[in-house]
Amino acid sequence: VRLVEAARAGDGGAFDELYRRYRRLVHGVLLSRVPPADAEDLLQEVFLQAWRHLHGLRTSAAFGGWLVAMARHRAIDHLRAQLHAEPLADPGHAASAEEDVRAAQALAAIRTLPEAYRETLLLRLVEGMTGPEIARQTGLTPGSVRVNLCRGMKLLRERLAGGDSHVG
Amino acid sequence: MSDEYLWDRTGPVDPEVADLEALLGRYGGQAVSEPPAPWRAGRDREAFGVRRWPASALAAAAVLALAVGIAWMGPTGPTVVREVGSWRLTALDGTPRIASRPVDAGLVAPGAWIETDATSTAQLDVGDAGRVIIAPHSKLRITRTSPGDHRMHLDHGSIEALIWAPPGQVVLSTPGATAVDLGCAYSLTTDASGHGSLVVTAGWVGLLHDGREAFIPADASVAVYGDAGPGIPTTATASAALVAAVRAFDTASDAAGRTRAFGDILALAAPGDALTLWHLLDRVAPQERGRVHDGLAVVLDPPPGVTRAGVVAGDRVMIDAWWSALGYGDVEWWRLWRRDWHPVTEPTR
Repeated sequence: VRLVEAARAGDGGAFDELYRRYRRLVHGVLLSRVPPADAEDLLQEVFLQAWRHLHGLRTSAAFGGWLVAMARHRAIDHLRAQLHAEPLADPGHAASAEEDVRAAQALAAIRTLPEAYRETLLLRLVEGMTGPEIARQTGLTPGSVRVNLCRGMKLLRERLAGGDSHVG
Repeated sequence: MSDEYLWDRTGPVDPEVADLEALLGRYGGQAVSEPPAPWRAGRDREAFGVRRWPASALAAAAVLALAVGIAWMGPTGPTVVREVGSWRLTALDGTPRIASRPVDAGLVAPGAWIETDATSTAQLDVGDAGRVIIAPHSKLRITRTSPGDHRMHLDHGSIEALIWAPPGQVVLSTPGATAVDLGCAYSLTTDASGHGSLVVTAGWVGLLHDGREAFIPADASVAVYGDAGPGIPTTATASAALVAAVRAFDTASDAAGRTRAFGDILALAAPGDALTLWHLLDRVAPQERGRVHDGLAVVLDPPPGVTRAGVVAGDRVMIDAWWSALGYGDVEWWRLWRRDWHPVTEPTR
């Protein structure tokens, strides 16, 4: 909260630290909707937008949730601008090796999950955040994050195994 | 297999989770290079690869720099300030009208009606708060705008809203409900009598009408029924039979039909329909609430401290706690932003 308040007062160093602490969160949310190469560019756009609009954030403790909302919106805006569906695999990660193919398939499978599960699983499996870290940064309760992780992982196992399921 | 490893990497390693971590780590954002951040102006600016910045970000930074520069140089800079915070309409197709005048693009003053005909579509940039796409056959106007408080009224038609302002700052009313943006993207359709629907694609929206609330998260939708306000939301994965039962419940004109629809909802609800059952708690009489509790408990364990007796008695804390367990976000978000929100009387047409 102190960092957010300092950044709002114009302290670029404080915002720099916020960038380092929250970039995995924002990147994970973006990656749930756009290809990896685009997520890198949009990551920077979201933080630029956050820097510009930080004065509008009335509750410093809501910073993480606010960033998540902006990241979602930026990703949707980006997809709208693309007009056509994006390929799920990252063109920069050519699926030439078996590992690359499996990674692209796993990422694609996660991206078929409902938003709450998709984002939480990406933050855990791709960004390497733990459940408590996700809860702390997003403002969700630990219980909600745990539910999202468990249900999302259950669905993901089913989908990777070739099955399909409605969301539970 | 315990889920402790999935939760915080303690406990026995779940081999499938560990395999996915190793596989997917290549996509992570930790390795993304440091940006040429404007908040670090003057420090190492040249060292960062400007090529990494997309053109849109550079354009946004240029606009910001220009606005700041002109505001600093001019005597008062009011024109620039007003432009940055104003509502700008751009025609995407055909020729929309502002206050009955055909326009291709222009600023919109509060109170002026924006109208699209059968062949026109317009984009309304809501200051620096977001963007609204106005579909054909729509009529909308701005009813209030001030820093942190933007309100619109959709008389009839369809819009798509993409809001990046903090939650609660953009409010859209219709004849049938008031939609409070809680950080989201959504589509809303209404006719002049307030009948319509809302579909949320990101974040969530709080709908309010005469004390009736509905929370609609991403991948969910709800019908709005004029003076009766919002119905019960359903998720995108709900079965067609459940959606039909919910609609029947929302619109039942007699006790027998309502009772039959109530039973159908309980019988048809699947694990993904906890959102629907949770809303049902507030739409039934206390004596029916126990059955809803039992149905909801089947698809989602009640959180600690939530009891059947408490839910039947309408204990708000318990019911809110159950919402928070749904995984859509903490209901405190809504309570927090609602405190700052006060209804406005919509202008007459």
